[in-house]
Amino acid sequence: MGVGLIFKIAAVGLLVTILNQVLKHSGREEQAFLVSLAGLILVLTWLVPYIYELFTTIQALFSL
Amino acid sequence: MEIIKLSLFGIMGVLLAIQFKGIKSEFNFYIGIGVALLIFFYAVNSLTALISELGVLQKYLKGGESYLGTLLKIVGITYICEFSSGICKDAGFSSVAGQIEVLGKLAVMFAGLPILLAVLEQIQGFM
Repeated sequence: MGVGLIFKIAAVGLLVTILNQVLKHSGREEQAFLVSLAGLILVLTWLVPYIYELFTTIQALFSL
Repeated sequence: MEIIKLSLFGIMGVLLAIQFKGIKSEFNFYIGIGVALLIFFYAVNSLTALISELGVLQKYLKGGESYLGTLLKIVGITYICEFSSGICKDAGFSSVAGQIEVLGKLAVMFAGLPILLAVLEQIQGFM
């Protein structure tokens, strides 16, 4: 939780970008696509619990 | 001050997100969501203090205790719709954001209906 989350997402983004460049120049477009998909899923597994927590907090707070 | 820290954090997050605009623009969007979530969680404890203060206000409302609850419910609905439609707009899907806002307006109207009926009954009483 905290600022670390942002830096984790940025790190995954950078990693995926570099891997994509490497894979693209060595002719493996499919792997490049799979790497970015994996990056997407990884970031989603971090973000979705927080989004869920946000909505449950609001529900509890505003007695919706 | 809280506000200065929050806004600086927001600006820092946005600057970090812009780095990914050229190469991988979907991470630009994820960092945006992350910053929005963190700012909310940072503000939620001051929000709970505010709402408990509002509870104190409740004892002055002789007749309509439930109206304060409805007011809070409407604020909650508005906040959720605003949050999600803002995120859809960031991603570039303004039509989806418009749909969410229309849904939010309907939900607010639905939540405020009993108050409207109470007012109409009052007016009926005067007639």
